[in-house]
Amino acid sequence: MNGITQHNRRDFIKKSISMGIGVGSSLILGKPPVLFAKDPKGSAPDLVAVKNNEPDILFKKAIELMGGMNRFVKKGQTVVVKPNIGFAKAPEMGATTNPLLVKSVVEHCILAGAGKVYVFDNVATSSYGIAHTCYKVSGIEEAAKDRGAIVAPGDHEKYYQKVDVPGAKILVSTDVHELVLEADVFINVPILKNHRYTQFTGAMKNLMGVVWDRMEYHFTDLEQSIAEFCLFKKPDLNIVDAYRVMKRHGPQGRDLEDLALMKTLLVSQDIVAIDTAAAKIFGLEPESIRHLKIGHDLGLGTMHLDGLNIKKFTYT
Amino acid sequence: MKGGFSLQKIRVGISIPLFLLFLLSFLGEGYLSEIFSHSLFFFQFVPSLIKFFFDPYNILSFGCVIVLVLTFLGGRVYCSFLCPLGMLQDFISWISNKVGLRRKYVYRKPYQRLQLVILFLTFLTATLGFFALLNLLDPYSLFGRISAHLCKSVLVIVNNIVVNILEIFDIYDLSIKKQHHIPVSILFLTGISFSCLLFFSILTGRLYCNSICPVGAFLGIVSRFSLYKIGIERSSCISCNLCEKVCKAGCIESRKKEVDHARCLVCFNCLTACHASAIGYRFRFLDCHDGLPVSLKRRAFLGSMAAIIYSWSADSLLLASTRKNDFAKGSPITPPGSSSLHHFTSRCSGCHLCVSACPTHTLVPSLWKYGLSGLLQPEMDYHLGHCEISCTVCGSVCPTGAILPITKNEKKLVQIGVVTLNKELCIVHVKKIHCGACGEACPTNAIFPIEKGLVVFPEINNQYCIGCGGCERACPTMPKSIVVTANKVHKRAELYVPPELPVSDIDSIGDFPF
Repeated sequence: MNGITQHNRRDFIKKSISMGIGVGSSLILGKPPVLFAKDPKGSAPDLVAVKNNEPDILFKKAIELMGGMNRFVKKGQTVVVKPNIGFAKAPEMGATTNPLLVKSVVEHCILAGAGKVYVFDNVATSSYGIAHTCYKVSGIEEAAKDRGAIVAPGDHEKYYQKVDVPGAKILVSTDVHELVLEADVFINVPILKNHRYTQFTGAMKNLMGVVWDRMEYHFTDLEQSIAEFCLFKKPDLNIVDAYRVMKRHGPQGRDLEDLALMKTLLVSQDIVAIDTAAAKIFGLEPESIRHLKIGHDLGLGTMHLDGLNIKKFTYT
Repeated sequence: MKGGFSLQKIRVGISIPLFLLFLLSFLGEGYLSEIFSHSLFFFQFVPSLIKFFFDPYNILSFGCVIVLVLTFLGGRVYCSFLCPLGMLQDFISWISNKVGLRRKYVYRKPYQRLQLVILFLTFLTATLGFFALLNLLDPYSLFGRISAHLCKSVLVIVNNIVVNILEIFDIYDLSIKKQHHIPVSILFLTGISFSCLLFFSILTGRLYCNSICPVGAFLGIVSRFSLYKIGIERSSCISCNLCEKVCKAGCIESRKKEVDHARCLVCFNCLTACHASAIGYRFRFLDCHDGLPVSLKRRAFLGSMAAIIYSWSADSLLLASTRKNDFAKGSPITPPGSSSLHHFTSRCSGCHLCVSACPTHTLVPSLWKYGLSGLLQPEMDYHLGHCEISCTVCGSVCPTGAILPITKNEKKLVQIGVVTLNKELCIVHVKKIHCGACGEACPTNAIFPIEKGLVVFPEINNQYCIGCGGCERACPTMPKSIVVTANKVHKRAELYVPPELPVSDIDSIGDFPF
């Protein structure tokens, strides 16, 4: 109910301004997204894993093995890329998604003909002004802008709209960033790292950064909420950055001693499968991670990697 | 006196840029205040006097001495050239003049007694460590509160309107700003002060400066004896009354051809107005009367002498009368750099520059928290923000030395408080499910995980805690399960050194584990 009225905030402002000014309304409203029929599945892999090269080269290879970015992004579509910009840490600290990877993802979206590519994150610390610092220090703002992305803020309640999560027990409704609601394509680009209180951070946990009140997750049931969010929306593509992997002191990390250089990248449409693979790379037993099990049981994806079409590539 | 060069034009030329800089440092986001604070606030009388009182041998606290010397040389130049509140009043007067609310000033009888009583009480209470009057009336601090709370609110609203429009065009270069938290009591008090000031300056120009302001009263005493003075040459005066009409201090009585030097702000408006060249700014103007009986003059002189002698002994008095601070709910947390509750409360004049500059909006003005004696002094409030570990803004902007500047490295170990975890409220301990909000936010490893069964519990290691409030801010329970309690005297935290553990036990060359 509330969701519907709030849903149209941007539209409402857009319309009232375009009526008021009366000029350039077509510019403001933008081109209508061109819809294409979905590709037949064919022989595209369920999971791609590549390793031993720089993040951008790894992504180029991985997306090629996935069947190319054109499979996911069509001409004129609006894309939202959601990296982990959670902390004001330099890229080499491994607390945030590698900016080179974000740059490469944005570049491929643009090359595939995306109308607009947005990049944002609702950072972990909600104190005033911190988000701005995180965007800068992580190097992601600069990298994304460099390839033509629009770096949008996520640190104000006004960007979020209430949605209902169908079939959820705990996370019955939550406030989601309007860009995610409006996007044609939603790409999730987490970094793989240790989290001392939930064991590890991967694709599913990264989606905590598209809701406004993450403390609601903490307050009710963290892992159940993390999994249940995917009942509302699953990313069209998940890209797990395992280039520098924080092995301890996560999610902030203390120093470079905490990192393992793994130079690995995972790509999949299946959010449970990619986290299962990520957990294995990390050296964890996937069965021990509660939100993975809940995700599997909710039918969000599969933890059984054996039955999947996995393409692996190792640079030598 | 017309034409290119005039003292009045010089005054306007100096005070307008200065006024804008003052506004900028209160409205800018921390870094602007950091750039300007040292040079700009050096000459602010009360902040400098507080510094001088505690640290008389430091060159950085000499601003007030220079202002006194200037006053002795040329009258209340501080009030016209350096005081931001004075400039604000001039600005309001100028507008009301333009709009037509008031066309001219008239001579007013002095409120000598009232102002001297206020000065006496303010001085006496402040030296005894009771800052209520000083913080309420100090012109610089009053200006600070008006600009930090009222002007900034307007700026934030304008900024957000612009941002909302730009965002439609996908321009996100400006961001939504929030006003720092202003308690209703503070807003109310600042609103009242500003309304009074508005009323005074629209109606009668600089009435505040000449009836209430303790700095004005003090400098007024000194300016009686100043070397250069404004005066009317009786022989050339044609009694045209023009000088009285432009005198915003209302101190020229053209009927008697006299100037009250205690109230004269040396704004030089009269010099420009006089067609007969009868008014001059000259060395020990002899052909003039200041309209004050000799007895009052003597009393003022003796009073100021007594005040100076008293102030020398007051330092020890203050230390002797170490105020009892009985706080029912634990004492307020003072910002890093303030070194102790006593240090902070005995120096802060409540200008709220730190409140405006704090990048995370953690410093919040309080009305009563420090008791009546610490009226308007700010405190750390972790409900809306936390103290970022790498930030040292408040210390580098504070003009009174209440918050001392510290380096980023020192800051990392300044313990302004420690945390306590209430396990009866904590979700992990009560429900046995994961949360980790506090541990995620802790920058110093004061919170560490303990694995019991399948659940990871947060535990506290207070020797690493600096009291930054990151955990309290993040804690999702209401009331908070993890709370910072103040160190009345700041301590030094230990630096966490992680145990040496092999991290890279993964074969990065080998095959994928799936």
